Amino acid sequence: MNTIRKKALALMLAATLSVGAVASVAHAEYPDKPITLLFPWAPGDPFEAVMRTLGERMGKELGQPVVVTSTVGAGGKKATAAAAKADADGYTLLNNWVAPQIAGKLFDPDLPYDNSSFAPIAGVLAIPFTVTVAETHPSNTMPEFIEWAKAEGKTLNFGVCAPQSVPRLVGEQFMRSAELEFNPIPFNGGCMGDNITGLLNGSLDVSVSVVPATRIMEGQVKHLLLLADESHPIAPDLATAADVDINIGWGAAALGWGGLVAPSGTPDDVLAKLRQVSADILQDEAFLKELGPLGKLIAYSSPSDFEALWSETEQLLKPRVEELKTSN
Amino acid sequence: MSDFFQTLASFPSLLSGVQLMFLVIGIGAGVVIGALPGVGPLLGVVMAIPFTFYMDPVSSMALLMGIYQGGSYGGALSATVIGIPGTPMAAATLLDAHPMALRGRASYAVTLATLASCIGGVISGLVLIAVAPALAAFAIKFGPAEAAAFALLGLTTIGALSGGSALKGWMMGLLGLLIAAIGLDPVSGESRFTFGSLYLDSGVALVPLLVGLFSISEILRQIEKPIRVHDTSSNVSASADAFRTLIQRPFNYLRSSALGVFIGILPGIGGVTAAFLSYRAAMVFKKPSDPDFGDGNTDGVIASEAANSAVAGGALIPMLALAIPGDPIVAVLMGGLMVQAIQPGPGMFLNHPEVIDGIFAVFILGAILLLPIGLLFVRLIIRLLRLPQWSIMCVVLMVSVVGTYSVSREILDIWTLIAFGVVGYLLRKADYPLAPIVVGFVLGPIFEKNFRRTGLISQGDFVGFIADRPITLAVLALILVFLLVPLFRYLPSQIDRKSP
Repeated sequence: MNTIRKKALALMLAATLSVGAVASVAHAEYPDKPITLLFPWAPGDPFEAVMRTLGERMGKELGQPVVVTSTVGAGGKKATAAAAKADADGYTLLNNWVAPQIAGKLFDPDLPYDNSSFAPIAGVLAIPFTVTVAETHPSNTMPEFIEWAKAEGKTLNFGVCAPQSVPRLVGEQFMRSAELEFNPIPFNGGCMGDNITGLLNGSLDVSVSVVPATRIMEGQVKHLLLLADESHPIAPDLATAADVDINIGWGAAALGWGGLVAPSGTPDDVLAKLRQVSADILQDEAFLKELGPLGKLIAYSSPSDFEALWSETEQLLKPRVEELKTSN
Repeated sequence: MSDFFQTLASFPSLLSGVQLMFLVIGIGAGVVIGALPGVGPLLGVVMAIPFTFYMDPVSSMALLMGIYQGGSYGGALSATVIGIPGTPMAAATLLDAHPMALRGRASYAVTLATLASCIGGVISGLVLIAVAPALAAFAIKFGPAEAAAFALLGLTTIGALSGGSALKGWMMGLLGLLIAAIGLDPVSGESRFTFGSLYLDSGVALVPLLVGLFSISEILRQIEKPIRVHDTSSNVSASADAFRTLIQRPFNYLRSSALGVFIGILPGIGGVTAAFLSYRAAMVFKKPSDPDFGDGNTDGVIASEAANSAVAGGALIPMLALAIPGDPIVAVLMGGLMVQAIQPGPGMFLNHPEVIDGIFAVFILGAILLLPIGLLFVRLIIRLLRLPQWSIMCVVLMVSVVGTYSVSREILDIWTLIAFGVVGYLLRKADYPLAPIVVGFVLGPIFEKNFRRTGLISQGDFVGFIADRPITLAVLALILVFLLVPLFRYLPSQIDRKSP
């Protein structure tokens, strides 16, 4: 009896100890090695600077470095697919973007991921698209431009960034709503390069663009309109679509948004830690200041708001993608 | 113009010792990086960016531009000595420099390439300083029609690059075009020939294609039939003969550099095209006493190296003046400036004149320093020649694989590398030229997207659209000349043969 009791006691003790040990592995030790943050665009991209700064700050808080790794290819789909496939242990995170995750998936349903592949950590960036013309263009405001276009009576050469992109979908929606005749010209370099050159050399009449890219070219191009219903801190004085009574009604879903996610299935306590740390940093004034002008593009949203934005965006883009698919 | 001389005169005071040190480190590192197959200046610049975060803007640019200049030149070393272009830009240099080395004139070939790189760099630097804003304003007028015409002009060099048989050359050129068609359609965004693979969506990557075709296939060939490359001359230093070409062939240096600068200014065309176009131009001016092109012709090496080095200065012009990067490396350099909170573009000349002057000074000095630093490596490289060939090939194989992987960290690139290695080996065995594949592969997409954009912009009315564009018309006329001249040479010879 005595020995049995002893054995039982020993077993219980061992069990308690081992449970404690397991628990301490899961709790106290995350993270016990460097965390990889997959970045889907090229090294040197302005948003890489944002992710790098964010990663540095998170690394300090977490006690382990957060290494930003650029996995370029297939319009961001490569990094997105890689993250969906990665171990859900909190050591691989993704800077997710609307283009590969939502638009890319709508264009190509066979992609090896969908919204359920990811667990949201935080919404990080919201980049508004703009309607842009060359500085030499006679019109200075959108109403003037619409008047000019109707007087010219020609089909406008309209630069639309990459062929299957969010700015294209948003831009074309706007042009239709404004009842302008246009001829979409895709530029596979995205929104920041060839299409601006196209405006300057007269190949394009008008283009979709983004503020940070063209800010550098001040004096050569001008923005006529922000393709959003509300004004944005990056260009607070710029007229919005709502200002000219063209309601595209897309809200935050019409922006080029990006954020931080982990593969779904990541343990809740790990997610909670990452959510807390990123929320603190993204709402810290010093962090925004450190980013300079890029800081104005930071738009923190909570994990639940960010996740809601995914399906909202999907709903809005879906009919436009279907339309584009059938017209091709 | 007085500004130009003022800028030049102020150079010595512009650079501090530290900045100079970073420039020298950059060039040295660049030469090594460029000489290693697969690892080009682009990767070098990207790898160096994190180090520049804590530097002053001019030091940062000194390091990055040193890597750019050294790397653009370094590819010529491996092209000459082991017949493997370290960078795509050196593929045209290889055609003549490697045959020279095989005949025991490695010193001459390498010195020639170094000298041509230096001259090309200096000339493009002078152009950069003198006319940056004015030329940038001109280049901006180049639309898709002009870009498509220039790419087409580049494609006509294929026939000239094919060594023996023009037919084989065109077959390889078309193969390059076909490979380039893999990936996303530039206008509709649909996947083409990708078999549903996300990897192929981005198209076949240039680095594994190039390294596989030239490097892996060369290794395979040498397993089968080892060749010994050795310099018979006891003098392992710079070749004085090479310096004499400066007096004998000044026109080639000038023409090739000018062409390189010009191509560099045009967005999205780049060093590979410049090297091949310049090579093609040199063929037009061939001296009767020289060996054939592709068989150790001095002008071929000068033309390719001067042009590809001159591209660097040209490509910086639209980046600094308009914030439009002329090539991918310059795009990363632009990122390097933005990290320093300096916005390239017209405002930069007003807001950061000291950085602009610093960049000018660094560029010219870098081009000049390339000569001594490059020649230092000549000794090293020639010493390398004395090693048994098998040991060099082992190192080349290792570096090719590691270098290719490090560019993208994509394991499938290694399979692409091996596949193109086998393809390259088989093509070499059947005596098909490899350079036209590279030309087709690089220029195909430039031509396609600009041609299709021209179609979209003109709404299908190509003829009416081009009629208003004199530059496009001039380039198209030049293409016609390039295509017809060989025909006119060929036909009379055929008639002569038949008449008796």
